[in-house]
Amino acid sequence: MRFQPTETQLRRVAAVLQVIESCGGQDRAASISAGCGYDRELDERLCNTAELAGGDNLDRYLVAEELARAGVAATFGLRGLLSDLLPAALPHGPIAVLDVNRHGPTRFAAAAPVLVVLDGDEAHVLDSGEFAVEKETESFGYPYAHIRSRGGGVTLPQGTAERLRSRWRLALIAEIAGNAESAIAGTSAHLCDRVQFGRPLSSLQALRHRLADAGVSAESVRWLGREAAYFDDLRRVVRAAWCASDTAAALVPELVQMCGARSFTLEFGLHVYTMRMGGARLELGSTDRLGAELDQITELVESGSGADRF
Amino acid sequence: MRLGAENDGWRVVRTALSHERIGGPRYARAMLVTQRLWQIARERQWCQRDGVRSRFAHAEASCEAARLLVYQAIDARIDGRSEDREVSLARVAIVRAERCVAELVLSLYEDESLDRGSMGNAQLKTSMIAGLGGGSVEVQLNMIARALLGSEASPR
Repeated sequence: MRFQPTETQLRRVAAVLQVIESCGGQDRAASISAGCGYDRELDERLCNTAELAGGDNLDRYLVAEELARAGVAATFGLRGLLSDLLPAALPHGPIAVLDVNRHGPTRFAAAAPVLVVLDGDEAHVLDSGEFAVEKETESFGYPYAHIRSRGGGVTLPQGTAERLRSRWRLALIAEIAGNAESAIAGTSAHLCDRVQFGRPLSSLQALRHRLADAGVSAESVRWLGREAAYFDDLRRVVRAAWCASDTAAALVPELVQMCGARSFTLEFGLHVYTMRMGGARLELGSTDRLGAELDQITELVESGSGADRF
Repeated sequence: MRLGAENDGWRVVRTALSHERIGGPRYARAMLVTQRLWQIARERQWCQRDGVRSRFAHAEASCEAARLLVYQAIDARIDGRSEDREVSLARVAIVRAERCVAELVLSLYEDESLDRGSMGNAQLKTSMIAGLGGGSVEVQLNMIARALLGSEASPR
């Protein structure tokens, strides 16, 4: 894996930013994000951008990371990472993912024309006529809904469920990495601008060290995620997911604390990143859950029985 | 003998320190300890204890993150790009990994770590010096903060 983006990757990231700009720019995106909405128009334009079609897993991961960094309410990142594992002719719009062994609400379920259902080793794809939802109060920066009933849908080939779950996690890791970077940048700007007792907060070493620590954690998630995407390997993804979940849990209260009470306001804008990080890590699962899964995979690898899968 | 050109000493110092900071792959040793310990933990049923599996994931993710951040710094060096920030990020990640693994070994082996030559004893002592070699971890945090905040707002 290279540590500098390729020309293709740079072009794809630039295309993402151009589409956001052509769709009303950051202000419009921020206003939709502030209301926990879904940016259908932006998603549609991203889907229709030729530059963003195809690509390898890392290319698509980097797009998901960039969308999260920009703080938009689009689902194109997740869609891109799942796309090669799903039937080709899916309608445009968000793809919602439901793990039947989890009981929380599903992100974008009310807006999604497609629901991917992960049920142990099986995966099914349902269209909007095959499932019913009940909207949840919007929070954590995105619209959520509970799936109340569902039909059987189309069953995907054996082995797809495991890979879909892994790609879903990659999308969440990318989101946490992108959100963390923007949240740290916002916190940095606040520490430089905010003057207390005659000097900027950024001159206080107690805060500088905490911010630097946050920076190391965010950088760790970024590279563990990118490496996992590059190898598209289940074990690396779980390891990166553990780090992302742990980092999001630590960073959210830490960055809010450093920004003070103004970070509670919508106008300040930090919530776009912190609340989404909070939601993404809950969707990803706790570190206990992910740690147990990594242990299981490790045991399978050591016993030789999972050599073909991991 | 003078190293480098006159009045260019700070650059030489920074270059030497940046090589020292990431020159020793301490994360690789810590990863080997983690992997060995994981096997032992299974044999001794330690993985059934609350939170132990998550702590193994933490240790492994920390070592792997340190490795990637070191590689990132080396990549910047090879390309001739500024590497100060990357080296400091990597150095802090190395220290974190060493300490994380040490704490895991000690918590599992408990009093067995009192024996000189035990895994816990060795990892503890390795981790204790990790935050000091090549400039203290606090200096690395200062350098990362400078990269994030700019140099205008110097610490007091």
